[in-house]
Amino acid sequence: MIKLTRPQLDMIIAHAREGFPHEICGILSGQNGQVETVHEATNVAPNPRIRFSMDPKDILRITDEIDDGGRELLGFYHSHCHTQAYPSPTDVADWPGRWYPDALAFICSLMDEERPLLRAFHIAEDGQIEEAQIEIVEGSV
Amino acid sequence: MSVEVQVPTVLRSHTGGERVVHAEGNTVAAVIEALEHEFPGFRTELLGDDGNLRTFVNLYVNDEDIRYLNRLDTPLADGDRLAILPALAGGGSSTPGGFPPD
Ligand SMILES: [Zn+2]
Repeated sequence: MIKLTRPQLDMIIAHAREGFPHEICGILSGQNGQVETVHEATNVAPNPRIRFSMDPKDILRITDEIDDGGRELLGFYHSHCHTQAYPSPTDVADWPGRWYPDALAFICSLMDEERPLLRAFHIAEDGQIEEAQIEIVEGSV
Repeated sequence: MSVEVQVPTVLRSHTGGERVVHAEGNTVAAVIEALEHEFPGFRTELLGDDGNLRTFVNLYVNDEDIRYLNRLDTPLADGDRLAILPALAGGGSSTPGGFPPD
């Protein structure tokens, strides 16, 4: 289970909507299973409508920031513009689970325009996918 | 002949917390071997059993992705910077409009 505040959830959904029809991406950090910071990153994939590739400069900056702040990297998020909130075969193949065994893959689907959906998954190194519950708690961004 | 290696946060447990280390080698592969020699276990974090770079690992020589250079055979010169970073990539499989995934 992972805890997210309502404003954090809204921020991820707003990021996904702003980026539409391109996929967007970012990193979530915090501690003890509670997200504290939503770090937006840039998608530099050449075909951003169906792919995301996080800007390496953002990866370097954000992972250092998290480490310097003594926080944990809790997850990576990206959006799916037209498909469900479930890891695609590409998401699974490229997942850095070996380096981040506890990080969750958050996917924000905009398939239903009116009802964007955020779900989180644990992707094992062998590709096995297991959903993690997201609990929405009181708090700020 | 020494290059500056930028170590990602998750691999700093191998380097005693150092975020930048120096290593000798005139190709990326040679530097990885030098790092393995100094920090045992480092190589398998970067390379799979087949000896190729793991899909989620990106290596940059002076900000250029080695996949667009000469991969592990990319030559290195004195003072070059080798950055090791996780790759974060993926994507929805396809759109209703029918863009095929590549
Ligand atoms: Zn995806």
